[in-house]
Amino acid sequence: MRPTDVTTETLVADRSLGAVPVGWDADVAVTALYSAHYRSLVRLAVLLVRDSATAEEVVQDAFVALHGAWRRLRDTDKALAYLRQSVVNRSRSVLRHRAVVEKYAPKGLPDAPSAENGAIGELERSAVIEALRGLPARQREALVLRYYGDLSEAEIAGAMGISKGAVKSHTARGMAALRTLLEQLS
Amino acid sequence: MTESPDEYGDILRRVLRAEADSVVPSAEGLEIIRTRIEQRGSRGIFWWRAAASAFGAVLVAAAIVAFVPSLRGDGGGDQRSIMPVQYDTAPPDESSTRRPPGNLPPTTGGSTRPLPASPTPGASTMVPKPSTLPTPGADCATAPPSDGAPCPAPSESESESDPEGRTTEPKPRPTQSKTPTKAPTPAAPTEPTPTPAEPTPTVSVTPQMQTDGPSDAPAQDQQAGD
Repeated sequence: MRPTDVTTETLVADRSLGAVPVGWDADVAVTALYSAHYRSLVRLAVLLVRDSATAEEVVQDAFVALHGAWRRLRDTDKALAYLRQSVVNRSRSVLRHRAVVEKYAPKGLPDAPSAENGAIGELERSAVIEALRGLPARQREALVLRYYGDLSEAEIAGAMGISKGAVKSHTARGMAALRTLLEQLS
Repeated sequence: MTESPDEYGDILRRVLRAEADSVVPSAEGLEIIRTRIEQRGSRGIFWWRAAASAFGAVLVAAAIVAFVPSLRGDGGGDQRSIMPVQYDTAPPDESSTRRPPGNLPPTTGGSTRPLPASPTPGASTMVPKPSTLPTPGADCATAPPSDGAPCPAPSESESESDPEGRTTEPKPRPTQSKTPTKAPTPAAPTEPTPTPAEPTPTVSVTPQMQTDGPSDAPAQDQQAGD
């Protein structure tokens, strides 16, 4: 059961933006997609790359790439799917690069928890986020796209470039890893 | 398996939502995107210009090569001239290998070969040989190679010429000494006659003897037969 209070900004194209008109110019399409999905895409990227500034860069690069590939994009209705897949792929690249940098960089103090009020305690939420960050990249992507993006298995498979079976596998394994923490929160 | 993810899915969804809501993207995102798009466009134009200029240069070069026949003809002419030279140079190479032994002068008889240029100096060199004539034994060793030298097959001529060389040793020298003087006129008529007399020894030897001395040739044949 998905909660009804899911934010209006969603990662599914047809829900918010609707079908992008075929005759739209690339600039007009980018502007429309930006106003409708930029924030949600940035937040998705934040959950993947754990850094808001980097997340914004990732999403901006995705929009630039969409603008360049707009003429080659046959089905403009899939513009959001293109953006989503681009964000996921670029987030992977960022994490890959970051892993290399952190491997040779001196280790500093852990990040202090941000002051945030919510239904769940700050410490528990931070613990879940930390546990989520500790998961393998594919499992984290599957969980974020599934529980934050509210995407179907087919959409997740398209965004991650894997099969539906692999999506199920990654989701199940990720949830199994987080089960102990989630049990405490429940 | 399927129920457990759904049980904790709501919790995870709320956690993720709360974490995502804490992120407020900057309002300058669209401007940044447009700036990057412009930069990318200008970069693309630059590469297009570079590619177009390179293509134009190649096109001009191809046009020049295509419409200027001299550029194309030079290469073909060189190749044609080289091939026949290689084909003809094979025989001279053989003679050149035999030059070191110092038997080139007899080649004067082989007027058919391209080396006749050498015979004239060879004849001059042969003149000193008669001075060494008094020692027949030493000359016998040198004389046979001299007879075989002009021939294309050195080994055969040398092996076969041993008996002949002994007999011909005294003859070729006087004949060679005579050749520079007598050779010019009678060389042509005498060539056919000696060749039948000595078929196998070496074709080159026979012409030498013929050229050396048309009058001496029959005498050599007789001695060889002896």
